Amino acid sequence: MNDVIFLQAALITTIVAVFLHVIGAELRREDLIEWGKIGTYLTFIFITIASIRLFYLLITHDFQNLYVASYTSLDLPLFYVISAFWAGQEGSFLLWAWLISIFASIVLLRAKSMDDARFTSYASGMLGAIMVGFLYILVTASNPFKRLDFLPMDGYGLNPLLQDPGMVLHPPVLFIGYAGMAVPFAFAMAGLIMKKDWVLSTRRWFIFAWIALSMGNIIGAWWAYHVLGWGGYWAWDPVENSSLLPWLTASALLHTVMVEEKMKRMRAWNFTLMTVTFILVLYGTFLTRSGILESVHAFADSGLGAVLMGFLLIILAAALRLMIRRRDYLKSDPVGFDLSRSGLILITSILLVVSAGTVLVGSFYPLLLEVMGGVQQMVQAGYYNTVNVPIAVLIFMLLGICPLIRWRRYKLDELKPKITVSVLSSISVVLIALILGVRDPITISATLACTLTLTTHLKEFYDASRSGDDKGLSNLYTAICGDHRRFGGYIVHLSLIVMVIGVCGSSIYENRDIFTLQAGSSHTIGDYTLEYQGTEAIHSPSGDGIYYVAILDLYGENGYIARAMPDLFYSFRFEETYQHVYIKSRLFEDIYIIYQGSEEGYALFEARVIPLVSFIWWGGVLLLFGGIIALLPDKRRNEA
Amino acid sequence: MDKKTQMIIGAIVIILCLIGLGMTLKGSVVPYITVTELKSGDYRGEHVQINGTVVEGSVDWHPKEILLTFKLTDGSETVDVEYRGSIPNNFEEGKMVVVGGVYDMNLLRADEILVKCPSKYTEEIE
Repeated sequence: MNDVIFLQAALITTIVAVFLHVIGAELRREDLIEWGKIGTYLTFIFITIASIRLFYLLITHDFQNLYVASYTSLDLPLFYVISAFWAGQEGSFLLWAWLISIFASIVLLRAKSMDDARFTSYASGMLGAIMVGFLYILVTASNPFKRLDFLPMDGYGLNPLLQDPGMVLHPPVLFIGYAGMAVPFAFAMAGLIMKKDWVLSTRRWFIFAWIALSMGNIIGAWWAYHVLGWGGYWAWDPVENSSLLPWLTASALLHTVMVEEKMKRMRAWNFTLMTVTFILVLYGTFLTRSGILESVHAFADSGLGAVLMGFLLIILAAALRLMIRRRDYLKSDPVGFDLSRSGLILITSILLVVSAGTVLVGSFYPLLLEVMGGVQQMVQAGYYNTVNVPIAVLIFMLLGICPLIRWRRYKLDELKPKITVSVLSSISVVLIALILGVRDPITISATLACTLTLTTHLKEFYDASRSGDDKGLSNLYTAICGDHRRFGGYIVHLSLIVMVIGVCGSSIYENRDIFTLQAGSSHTIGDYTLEYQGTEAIHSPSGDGIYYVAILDLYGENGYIARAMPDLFYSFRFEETYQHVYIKSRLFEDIYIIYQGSEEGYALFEARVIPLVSFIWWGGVLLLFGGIIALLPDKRRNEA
Repeated sequence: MDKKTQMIIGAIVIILCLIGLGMTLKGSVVPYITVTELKSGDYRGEHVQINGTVVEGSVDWHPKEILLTFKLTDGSETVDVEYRGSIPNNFEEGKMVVVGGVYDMNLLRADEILVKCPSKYTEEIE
């Protein structure tokens, strides 16, 4: 018996469940809805069995399974054997389907009343339809349980670059974000069918998915930084872009939903953003694997590509048809570009969507040129930076104003006294920067925008700590408990500022040098001196390769700091060499050393002094913290 | 300001942004071609990105001069590459790489080498 039978069973139960849910909801038949629920739970059980089977095959090194043989080997540590579950295409699709089935079951368990049950039923039908897509791919083009007709002695092994905690975490966290977006999307569809609010009821799902999406991207960047060894963390390559795109549109939606909650406006815009976000999520999942970004021709050849296109088009068509049928319901008073919270949110969301648009245009421009018959072209990272830096500056400027304004329309005169502190502080910080000799226009505009936002947000926290009868901190605590989303959001804003500082510092002020050293000689970069002591060859404990370790003594202005040991690892299995970066993280800068190898006693090194880069990772931690705060249920003030 | 003026200003801003976007985009693309296309087209003095395979046995490395030379091929044509920079992780003979640089006098003076992503999704079992 092949394990794919569990996936086939899941496919059948999902299809049945979709029909039961939708028909049950249409005919208001409670019994059908109940059966639909059982269908969804059964799907979850079958996919769970399939997933456990895959874990089991991986752990027991069943190399007759093609997937196990392709991504693991006997000497691979258990930790990475388990993570190989999502190292390949088949496994990641299975993880996707599994996550949706988990989420779909949680949705059903939390549903309550009858009217609610119909709403949930439509949404479960939609989630089921999405699972049908994935399960269909899993049982046909991308089956993780394919068996070889012979038993290999050992597996192919996991690429050493992927053997890193960052790569263990990055895919599942990103997929939690991806699959998590399916839930609010399904409810948006259900909400439109029933003319019922979906924004409020899926608010926490949406925030949860957004945090996972953010963290997935940050962890990916962190992995690239400490593993790939090119000193950067974001290269604007199509794969990275594909996970940034839904993040941008989701970030826009995160704010525009508040307008619908408070004013019942922007319904059409929110539904559109939700659909676009989910389509971009699917785009991110599939298109990077289908080869379309390499070349049009590769795309046409890949069977997966066709299935994907069908899948995307069905979802798009369904959403569009629903929008047309419910156009009267979607109509609401337009939000004006005025000085009110809704006006500023509208502008912010447009800026975020424009940013996503420019990234999409950059990704598809080469394809367009190729279709029109030119030679293939590559869009350089410079394009994305040039276009998105001004957008980011504008967004941060708005972020510095927005918290000061409530929902009604403001006059400029009313805003003036509120914003004085922020404006003064940002101007004085910029002046200080100018006096200190900062001339870079990006740094200066980022300083201006970030200080404005920082001051405004700190002032919000300060005001909250003053607006009660208790002492400062306990007032603040009460305020945060009364409105977790608001303060969680503020913390996320602050985390973005921390990250912007890291991005500016590391990309603009990086100091980089390539140099040759002989044993005993030394080289100075910035405030640091590197003294080369020689190289040692060490066999790896598991016997799968040799480390060529370069030994350098690292000195700072105040003397000895550490012994730096970057190395080159030669893997017998892959017959390839991998550079292991040495990174010494200090509070305000990283020293990043790569050993490139030696010949006739001459060793070649590349060293970088990268300022403020750790701010990006600390910003990520702060974002997670703010996100968790925003997710906590509010304790109503009168209940306390 | 009445509605009409607002609309006109808005339209002008949007058009200017689109023009700016288009110009930035046009200015930041480089041809991404094969060695054969490089040899047959007129790319002298132009910045190009070439994809190809590093010819086995052609890599010559002199750490003292920080100089790396190798031959890049697409199967039919071959070009000499000269590179003075940091060797990227995973650079190996026989590997698919993308080399960016300026081509002149049958020599590609590279300023960047990208090793095709070590994608976990493409490894095939033998």
